[in-house]
Amino acid sequence: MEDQLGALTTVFTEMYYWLTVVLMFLIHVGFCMYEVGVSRYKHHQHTLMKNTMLIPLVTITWYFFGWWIYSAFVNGPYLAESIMDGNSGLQLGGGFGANDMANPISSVMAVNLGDHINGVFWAAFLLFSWTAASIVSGAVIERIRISAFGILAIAIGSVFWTIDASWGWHFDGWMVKVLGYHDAYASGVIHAVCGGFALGVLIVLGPRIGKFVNGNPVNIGPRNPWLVTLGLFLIYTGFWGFYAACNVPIIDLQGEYGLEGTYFTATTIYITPTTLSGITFNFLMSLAGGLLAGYVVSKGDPFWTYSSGLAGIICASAGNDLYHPLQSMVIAMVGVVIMHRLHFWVERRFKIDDAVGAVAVHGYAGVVGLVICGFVLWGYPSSGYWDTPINPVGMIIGAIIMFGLLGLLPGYVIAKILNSMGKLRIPKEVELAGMDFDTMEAAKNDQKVYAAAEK
Amino acid sequence: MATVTNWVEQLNSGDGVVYPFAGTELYWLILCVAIWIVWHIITSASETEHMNDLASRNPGPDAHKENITDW
Repeated sequence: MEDQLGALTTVFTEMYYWLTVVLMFLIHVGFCMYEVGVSRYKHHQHTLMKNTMLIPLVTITWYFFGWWIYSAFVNGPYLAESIMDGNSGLQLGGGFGANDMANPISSVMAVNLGDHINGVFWAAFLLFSWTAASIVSGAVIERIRISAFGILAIAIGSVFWTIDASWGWHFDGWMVKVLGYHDAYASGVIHAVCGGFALGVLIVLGPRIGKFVNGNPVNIGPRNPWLVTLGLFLIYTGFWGFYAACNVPIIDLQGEYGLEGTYFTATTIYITPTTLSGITFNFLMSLAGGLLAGYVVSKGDPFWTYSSGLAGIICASAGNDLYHPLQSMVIAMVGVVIMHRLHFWVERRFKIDDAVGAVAVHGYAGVVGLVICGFVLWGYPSSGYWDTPINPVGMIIGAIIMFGLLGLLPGYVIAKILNSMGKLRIPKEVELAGMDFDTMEAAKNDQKVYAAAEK
Repeated sequence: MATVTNWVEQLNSGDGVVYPFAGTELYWLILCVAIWIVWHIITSASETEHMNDLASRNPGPDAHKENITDW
């Protein structure tokens, strides 16, 4: 920071990401409230602990290796050459390589007076990682072991979403360069991959006892609609922070693209220009579109209407850096109609018990958003550094990679391994009694002692 | 051992590293990874023990209603 303007820009950027992290914390508060609101009384405390313990587990593994993976895997490896130094293997150097940015024993991964960005940038991505694990958490409530979920949370939060972000959500990612993949606010790189991962786990985990009677699904929950409402409103609020965190708030593209004069702007994570004003239009219009469509398709069901607001934003997110707000609204509505119908069809056809609709809201809406983005933004350059255009084929391949290759497949395989060890699902007797049975019994005994002392 | 003993000298040096025991990061990493792995082993074993105990008692689907406190 050699002059006042440079210092202000650096400190503003540091503060900007710091604030996004605080805002995004609300996503996790929302997820906790939401899951407890959906779960039954006898499982409340374990449900809460499951979603809480992913915070430390994903945080430390994100520090150990997750952040490193993001920087290291941009070339595949061996699927494209880095624009930084022409390397095609693991990207360890070149200025933004894994060992430059994210080696856990590097001095920039700590208090370092020469660096004001790495920690807040690491934290912003970490909050995305918590969200990734939380998306899976809701789907598996009331029957998964916390220890098993911890391993699954690390897998999706610190490994698989990280790989997909490195491939498709990085200014040098091979999917962006080769396929023309574009996913500005993470329809695919967060939501589709986590929806797919959750589906893979659910296939192995199986439904809650009593969910299907004579082959027909029974509606279980939500137990506390008000808690669900507050939870989803907090997730909306945190989503604002997420949108902000997906941008570089101020950068001069002259140096990046070789422009003739200075051009200060906000950009996406791909260093393509957008405006915070524009994405504010689109965030709200896609939220509105999702709510409107959700209210109709669910016939006014509060649970699905609120979830549809979220699904609407998720569906429009891939292209919300460039869409017109009216396009965002319509795209959100299309995504909600498809994800809602698909949820109930999959539930009935394959006996999948997705307790909170996470596979639909995040997975199906995310995939639909990627495909629509491929058509609506067809021909736009995926970057200012090269000319590969955004196109439908690249986006469809991208959706398959996100949902299937990095989501469903690893979720299924890891769950299979845990299941074969007898470590995935709680015993039937515990599921029926409630995972909180002993805690509740201890509280009741305390009350009896207290009541006796009062007499 | 203090990495910084004089702020003027530190800032003039241009070296941004200020945390204590600089140079021992690898040992701290090994320690923390070990703690992480041991945590999984301990919690998994504890959870299995608790689940097996509760399953053997088999309280039934409605027994928790007797344990709802008044406070």
